[in-house]
Amino acid sequence: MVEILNRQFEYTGKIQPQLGECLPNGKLLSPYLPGTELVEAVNLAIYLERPLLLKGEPGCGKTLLASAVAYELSLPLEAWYVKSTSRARDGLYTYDAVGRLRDAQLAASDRLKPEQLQRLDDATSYVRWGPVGRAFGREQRSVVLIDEIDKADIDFPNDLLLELDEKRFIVEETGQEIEAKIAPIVFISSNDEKDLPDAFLRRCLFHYVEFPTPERLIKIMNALFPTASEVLVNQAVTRFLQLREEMRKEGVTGKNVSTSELIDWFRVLRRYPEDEVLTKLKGKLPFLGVLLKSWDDHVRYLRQAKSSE
Amino acid sequence: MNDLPLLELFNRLREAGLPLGVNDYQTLLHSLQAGFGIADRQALARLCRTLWVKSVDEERIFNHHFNQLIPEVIEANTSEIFDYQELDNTVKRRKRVQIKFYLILSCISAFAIIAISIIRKNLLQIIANFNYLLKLLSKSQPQPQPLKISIEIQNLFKLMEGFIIIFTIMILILAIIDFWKIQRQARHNVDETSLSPTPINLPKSTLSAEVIRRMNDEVQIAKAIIKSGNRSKDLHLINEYFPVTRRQMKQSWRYLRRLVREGPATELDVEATVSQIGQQGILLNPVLVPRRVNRTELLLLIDDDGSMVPFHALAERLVETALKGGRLGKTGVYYFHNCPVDYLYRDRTHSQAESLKVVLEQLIKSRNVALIFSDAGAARGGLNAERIQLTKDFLQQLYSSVRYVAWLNPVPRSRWATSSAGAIARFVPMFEVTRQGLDDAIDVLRGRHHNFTRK
Repeated sequence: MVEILNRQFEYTGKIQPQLGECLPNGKLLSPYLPGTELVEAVNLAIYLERPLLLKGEPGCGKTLLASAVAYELSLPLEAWYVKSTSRARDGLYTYDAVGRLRDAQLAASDRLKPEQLQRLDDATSYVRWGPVGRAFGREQRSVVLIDEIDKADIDFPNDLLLELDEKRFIVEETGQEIEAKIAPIVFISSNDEKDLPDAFLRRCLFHYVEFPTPERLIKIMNALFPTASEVLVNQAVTRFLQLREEMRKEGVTGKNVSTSELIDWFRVLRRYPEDEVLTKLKGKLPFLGVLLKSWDDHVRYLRQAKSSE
Repeated sequence: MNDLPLLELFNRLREAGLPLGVNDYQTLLHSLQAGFGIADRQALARLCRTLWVKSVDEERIFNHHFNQLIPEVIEANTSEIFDYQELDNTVKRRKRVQIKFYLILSCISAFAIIAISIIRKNLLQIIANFNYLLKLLSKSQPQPQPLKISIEIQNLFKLMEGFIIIFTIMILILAIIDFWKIQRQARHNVDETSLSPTPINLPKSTLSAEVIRRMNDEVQIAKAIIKSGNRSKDLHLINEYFPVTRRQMKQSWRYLRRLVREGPATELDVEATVSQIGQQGILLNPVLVPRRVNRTELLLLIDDDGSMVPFHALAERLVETALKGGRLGKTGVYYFHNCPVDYLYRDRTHSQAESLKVVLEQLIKSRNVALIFSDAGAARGGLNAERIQLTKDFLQQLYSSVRYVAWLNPVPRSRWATSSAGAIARFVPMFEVTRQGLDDAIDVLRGRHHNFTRK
């Protein structure tokens, strides 16, 4: 096992970026504390070279996992944010047929420089690679994130079967066959808005990202806000969990509050002096707008707060 | 080949309807060999879950089977030993306290007996002495009355002695009963602790009704197929009727689509662009066309009262698969009773009514198709002229606002002819709820040719 793991990449979830550390593109990195089960699932996916399908409540860190893994293993990250209009091919490549046509027109009227003409002769130069295409083309292993796959048409996942299974695809316009030099680590997140086809599910590993335990929630908050006082973090997390529990009991059909809301909320709280916030936390929850996203939830909360007074 | 690890679990999960193949089993072996999931039972469960389970519902099915097949032995043992010791200690402590208590009681009673007998003997002596003294003193005087109280006192003391003896015996009896009780309780506790870590540490009730239903019907179908392979004449009483599995329904719904190019022009039409260049001699602008989207909108009308009660689960499944599994533009679900007259209901309980007229007016004829799920009176049987007429009127109304209409009847075709269903089936293409029937109904909704002429 040791030998295998030496050869393989192993994710531990323990190496965290320093506060304020940025990606080369200027995106701020934040610490990510995964549960042990999630770490295991990630390692299994890396070992089996299968995509890992992540489901869970919105805001519990499905998307951030990919960048955390990429950071720890220092691999490049290719994120593909799926939209309702996305097609499977967009993730692999797009062919700039119009550009080529334009160049051909310009060439006819002798308005192209020699290097541009050279480009025109090479059909492959009009291929623009998508995230998956880029990952396949690299010599180095990369992390690919296919975010919110359920937003696209239900045929979308089926169109990706060959690519994910055999790690190769064909650029139809040029006939090039692209085969991954090294299989990327693929994470797929889904919000369960649509059922995914069985054939697709069969090729994925599945993990349900659970809401963190209170202890881990405090750890997460401490990692994100290392300068915040312990009392404040504890108090905020306790109140937050109370609210979550109340909403769960009420049988909220919509979205329950989740980790991402807690982080946002805490960020707002931190803008005020600590003792002021602590007194505020004892009464009615401050800055409710950050936590409760629907009018019904608001009304329900206010009613409850009134009745408990 | 029976020593393959976890094969039983794998087979059971397959039987429960999880879409697993040989490949998935191989992956497990592969991962086990690589050292994943061999640390303990939990790790193994996690590994299997990650590999085989693809949704939260499936996870419940998995947990159920995993716990049945691989009971918590190792962890349970340690806790059991701990429990035994704990229990032993408490029992011993209680016994010790009881023994002390009864020892003290019996000591007191024994001491009391001895003391009383000594006092009695001494008292006799004293009385005898006293009488003798009296005699001596009264030699000169006439004989005095000797002390008689002595006998009474003697009797009294004897009584006390007897009482104390009885008391002691009672204490002894009590002590015996108490010990017996403690012993019995201890044994009972031991029984309980040895029973508590039973294989099913996950109670069955945590399997949601929905999952159980799904499990049941997938298993039923599997069984039915196996049975029909073996002895075709076997008849089985099945308490729920699921002629079409969820997966089959989803597959069928996917065919219900009519792709229309609509919305903003985003896709390059290469052929049109090339021909335009051919005409104009130069590329002025590329020809863009809108994307193809599914424009079929479904109106699902469900009869859910009276004779349709047994088919509730089936109807629910039809609704659920249409909403989640299909690629329909929009799906409207309405409920009615027997035949929609004036009002349709948004919910099962018939509390949110919507006027039939309003619902139908909102439909766009070029896009909408309607599917009706009702027994059309076939479950109860008999001809009901009023119902036939009402249904006919309703269908006429419906035909004027949707493109196609199909009717699914959960009652087998053989019963239609003798009931209102037969008459209604003349106005609308009606199908049984089977895989074939569902596919045919969807074909009708797609506008495919169907040998049906409305009368």
